[in-house]
Amino acid sequence: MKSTLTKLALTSALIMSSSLMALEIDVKITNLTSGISFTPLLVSAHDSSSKLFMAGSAASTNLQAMAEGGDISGLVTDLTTAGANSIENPAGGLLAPGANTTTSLSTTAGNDYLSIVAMMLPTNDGFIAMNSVKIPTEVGTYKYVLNAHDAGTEANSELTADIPGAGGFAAGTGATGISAAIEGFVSIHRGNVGDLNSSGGASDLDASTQRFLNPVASVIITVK
Amino acid sequence: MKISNIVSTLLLGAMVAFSGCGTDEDEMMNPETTYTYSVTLTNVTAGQPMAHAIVTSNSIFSVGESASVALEKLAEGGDNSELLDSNGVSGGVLTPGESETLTLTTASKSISIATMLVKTNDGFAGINDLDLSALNVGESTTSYALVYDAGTEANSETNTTVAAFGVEGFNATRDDNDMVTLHSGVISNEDGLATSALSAQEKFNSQALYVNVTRMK
Repeated sequence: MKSTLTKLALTSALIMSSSLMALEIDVKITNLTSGISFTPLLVSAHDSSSKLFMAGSAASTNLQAMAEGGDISGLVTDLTTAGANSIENPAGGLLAPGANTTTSLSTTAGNDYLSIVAMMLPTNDGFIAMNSVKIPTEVGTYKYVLNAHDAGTEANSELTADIPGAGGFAAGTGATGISAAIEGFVSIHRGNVGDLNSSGGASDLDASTQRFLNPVASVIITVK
Repeated sequence: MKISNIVSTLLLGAMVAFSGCGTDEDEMMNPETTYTYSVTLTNVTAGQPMAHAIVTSNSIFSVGESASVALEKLAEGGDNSELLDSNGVSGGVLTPGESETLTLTTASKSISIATMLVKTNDGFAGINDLDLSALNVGESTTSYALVYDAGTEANSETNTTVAAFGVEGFNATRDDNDMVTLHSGVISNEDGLATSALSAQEKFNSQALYVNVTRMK
């Protein structure tokens, strides 16, 4: 038993030391959806206490700005204050359906957790999220899938007037709006409803091309 | 950098293997070893209340197979009592966004979780036999429970069949495909099912329950 304890102590000591190393990683993000674009991505390595959000809890104002309007600047400021290593907008604009982008990140020792967020267009306050996932330290390639989240800060009305840039996606007009509520907490996005009436109906989104199911993105981390 | 990474990784692998042997020896000497898990459940749906959850070391369901009557009662009426025995603990009702933490002490290294989505006919969020054997004391693992359809009741979404409306919960008749599958989602009256008592707010998209398990002992 004593020897087990010693071994366990040694093991945890090694785990500690490996997690305190700086890392060189590549991050490849692929939009898996058929009709949803991602606004400028934020990819950030940070410490364990710098989570961008907690599912089930209220979103921060800066998370809200990203989810409703695609503006990542507030989150970048938060992360910079926390000493994170961030890459902004690696795709140089929208990441279209089926498209992918790869970025490289050098992490400072202690920034062992990776977060990735971007607004989903067209949605009211939907965003893709990898939420503070431990970065592997062993050399290799690691695959993940990301789910669509709802910031809970805006009702999912699905009206063109409530969605930035929705006009660029052949969104409809004249809808009365989906009877949605503001949740007040971050949830898994329940999906767009849409309808097949581009000049009326309940939703300005198109049910045949602008729905999605989880997962919505894949991420490949290559530890070099 | 690369080489030191590889070396420390190899060392780590060796140490983990060694400590793994130690654990096995302990178990052989103490066959009554128990594990204590702290299980935090968070309802991450936008509009689906969840009935009393069960966290248990028993298996609860298997995709493609017929649901037990005990599971049917949980999935149609939110009643976990027949799944609950000395191997499990019961949770409370979770409104959307709400969390609770349950503690389970068990001789098992796997746990199962199930809770009804109350605004469905027979939908439940569940994880069957979540493997916790790699978890050391103090470590945590997180996962999402997906939404399954018990296959015991047709998904009519009406206010006389969906438990949330208080008219009918469990009904012994099986008028669906009689096997557990992933749930295809609710349609709602804003998405083409005029007779549905559900709105778009009650829709969900696979992942419904965020689960964090920490091994305490």
